[in-house]
Amino acid sequence: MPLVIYTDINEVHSDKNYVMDCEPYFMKTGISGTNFNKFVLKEIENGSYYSKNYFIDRFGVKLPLESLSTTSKLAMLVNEYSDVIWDLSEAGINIGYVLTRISEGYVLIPKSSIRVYDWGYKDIKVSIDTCGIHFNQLSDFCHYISEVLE
Amino acid sequence: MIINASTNIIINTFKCGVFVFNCNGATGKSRVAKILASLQATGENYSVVTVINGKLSVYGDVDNSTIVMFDRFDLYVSDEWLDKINSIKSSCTVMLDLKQLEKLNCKYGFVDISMFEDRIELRLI
Repeated sequence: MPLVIYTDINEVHSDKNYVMDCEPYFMKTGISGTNFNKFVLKEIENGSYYSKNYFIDRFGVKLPLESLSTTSKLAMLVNEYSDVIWDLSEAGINIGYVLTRISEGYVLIPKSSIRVYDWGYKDIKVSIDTCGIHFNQLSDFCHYISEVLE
Repeated sequence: MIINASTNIIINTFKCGVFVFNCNGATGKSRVAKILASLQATGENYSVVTVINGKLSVYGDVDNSTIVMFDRFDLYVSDEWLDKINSIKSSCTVMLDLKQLEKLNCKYGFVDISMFEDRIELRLI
């Protein structure tokens, strides 16, 4: 199953749990030491994994879970709970690059944001569905959202 | 302008108006909000509006502050809050953590934020 990206709230299916505010969800979850979460900490926080309740920030300081950016929390939750539709309206544009590493899940990204996300510059293989179209290559997806999506 | 806290916040200048943070994540926006909220509790003339545990939280008197920050504004942006911003923008610095800029109905500048180990620098542009 791919990463399904909705660009309009009206497209979101009501049979799935839709979450707009990730914070309460995240505090119950914690950070597991998966490769993906370590990748998120490196790419978004410029930090590293320490334990379920702490991470190391860009200055080498051990900080509690709640100090993580909302962008990192959202990226980890999208990957962890692939049956939930996550609203990425408040995510930073640097979440795009880590989303391309997720092979399964649901997100809502407003049209105004999806075009300005930093999706990365390498044309890697992806598995993304949006507007009923499946994309296997990042370059095809980026071309679609920048040139075709209205 | 220097705001003294455990992590100092340094603002290049004081300007009235609306200023939006850049759209990257993990730049220190919420850390600024937490510092301003904690200083407000000690009597400083700052206000912070944010969402905590799913609930809208307002720290300070939004109508009578020198700096007002709306953190996580995408979660609660509404005509009511936009009207409020328009009514206070000429008398204070309004800083917005907002990604959906098309929802703003006023002129705005930007806040360039740089985080260091001992301080956070904000540049109003």
